[in-house]
Amino acid sequence: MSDATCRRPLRISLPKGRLADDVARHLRDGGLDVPDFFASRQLTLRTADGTQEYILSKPTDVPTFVVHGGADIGFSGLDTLREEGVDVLEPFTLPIGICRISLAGPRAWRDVDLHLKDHLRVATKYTRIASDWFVSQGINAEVIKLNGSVELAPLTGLSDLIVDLVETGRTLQANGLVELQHVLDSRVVVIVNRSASRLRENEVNRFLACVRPNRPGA
Amino acid sequence: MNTDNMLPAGGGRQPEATNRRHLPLGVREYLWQDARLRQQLEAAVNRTFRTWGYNTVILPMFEFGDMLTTRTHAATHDRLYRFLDMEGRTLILRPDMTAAVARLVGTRLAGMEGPFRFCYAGSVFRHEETSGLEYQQEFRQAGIELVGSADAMADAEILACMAAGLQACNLSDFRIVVGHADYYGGLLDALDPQPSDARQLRWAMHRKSEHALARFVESCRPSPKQRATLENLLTLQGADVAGLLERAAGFCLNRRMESAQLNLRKLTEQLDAYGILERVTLDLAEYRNLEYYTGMTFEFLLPDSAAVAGSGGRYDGLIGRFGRSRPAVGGILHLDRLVRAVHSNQAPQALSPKPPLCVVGQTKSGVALEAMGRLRQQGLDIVVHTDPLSESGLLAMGRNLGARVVADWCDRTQSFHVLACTIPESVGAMDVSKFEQLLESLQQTELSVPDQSTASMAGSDV
Repeated sequence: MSDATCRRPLRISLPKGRLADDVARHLRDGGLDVPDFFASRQLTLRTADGTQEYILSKPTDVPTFVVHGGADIGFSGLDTLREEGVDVLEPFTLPIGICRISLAGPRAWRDVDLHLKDHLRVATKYTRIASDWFVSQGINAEVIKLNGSVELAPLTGLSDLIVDLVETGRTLQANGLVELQHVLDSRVVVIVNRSASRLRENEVNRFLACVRPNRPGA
Repeated sequence: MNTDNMLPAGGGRQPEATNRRHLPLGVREYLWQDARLRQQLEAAVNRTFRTWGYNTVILPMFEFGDMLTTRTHAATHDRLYRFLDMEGRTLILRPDMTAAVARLVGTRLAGMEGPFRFCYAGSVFRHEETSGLEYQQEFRQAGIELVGSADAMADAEILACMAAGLQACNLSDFRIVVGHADYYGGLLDALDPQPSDARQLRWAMHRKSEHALARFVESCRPSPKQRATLENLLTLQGADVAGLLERAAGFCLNRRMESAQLNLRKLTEQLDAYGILERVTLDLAEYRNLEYYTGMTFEFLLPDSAAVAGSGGRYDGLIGRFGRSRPAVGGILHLDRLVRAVHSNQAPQALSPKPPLCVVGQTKSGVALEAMGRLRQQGLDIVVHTDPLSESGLLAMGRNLGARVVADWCDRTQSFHVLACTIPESVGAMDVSKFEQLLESLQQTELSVPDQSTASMAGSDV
């Protein structure tokens, strides 16, 4: 079958920031011709053969681009994907950007049974992930949205606990906080627009074959 | 900068500054060209359905809640619009048409021999959590149901008829994704997983997640044969229909999966005969609502659109819940999404009302009104202005509306006075029959050169 319905090159959404270099390196290792965004100020760049177009966006926008079909394929942290809650295909993950989202708080909270607390306040950037997790655990919690420096919340009395990204744990330690529970293991996940997986089946599959971590010969 | 009023830009232009929405989210309203377009698409689809022998059925907008919810919509219970009647009984706005057709056939038509072919168009209502894709509450659908045949030929007819409906809208570049409830259902029979594991499997199938599937395999400890099926499950999709069915046959774990595979083989042979097999993508790892569907399921996709254009499937168990059981298959097209697909094929268009053929000044003359009545019966559109206007006012009004003829009625001479016309020689006084001839001839040229003459006039001097 030829993908007769395509009118533009396959579009791939890459996250800016901390994941950008690792994802680009992984794609180049897979033999893909990823353009050098740093050499250019453009936000969209085509490959030399014109078959693919890469777009660079904020990490939290990658799932949005993919679910609406603005991009066919995207690379997102699992944390971002779950927080955005969008309905996309997620065929496989990559061993990149490995981190975890944890419930953390002052040391004294280690011995507290959270189920017995009637009004727990939790600050987080990940309101959806946190709310869903508390519901799944049967814990009543009020989730407060913060956009950064979440560790400040328990220190200032804004909240009892926090749900936040943990890479090494040093930031928590520096603020006198400890990890209490594991909420989500995150790493980079390859996401695909549902319709694109049907309408551009061949192109998508060829691309995924290059990106798959356990590809033959890798 | 004025900080007292921090309304967003544009808010100040409202006659009454307010930050309340005018409409609930998820409903649509169409104007002018857009409204005509949706009406035309609906008409084209329905005309196609009727040429395949489907009879229009008109269904109620709301029904008793207990009739539909417990029988057909247990899974989507919390997404229905409910309200109470005078006696306190729960009513629901129809969440789809299929259940209503099933109720009708199961009860009122129980004594009649089938098969029945029904088509319909109308709105259905649901709180749709489309996971960030689109929030919609009112869905305009056109659909068909074929009741009384369990054969794969009936499934093929539904797909071919809906494909013809899309082609009638000049949307020929579609794909049909076909799955089967019994392939997944048979897999569940064979594995008999714990409910929480079954959820994991559904998630893995829905998101095509190898990671989630591996976790399921780990926790359900399958036999080697079951493991082989599971490990290949996500690869059982694609446009190579014959090859896929061949492979799917090798992974069947019981009779139910085998019969699904055989059923799809028969269906695809018939789709080949209809000439639409090349548009089909098979997906045996497709998970659809098992409470509802008992056989083949499908989705129609259009290029550059993330939302499905249509869907449906076989629901042999549904009608029996209302009365006499019968096999049935059907599907719907989402008319709002067809509108969007047509739009995405065109450059954006400024909206305006359709220009009438002719504008006539205010008149009380029975002779004039009768003449215009005759013209309207022939399909000509004529606006009679309802307020008194001077000659120049009437001319300006005609230009604004984009009319091709602007005329006034003269009571003294009992004749029309053409003030402006796309044929300049026709300007002047003329009797009723000449006026009728003029408009008829203009209408003829409009039919032969659609929209061009009206567009050029509508665009000038406005």
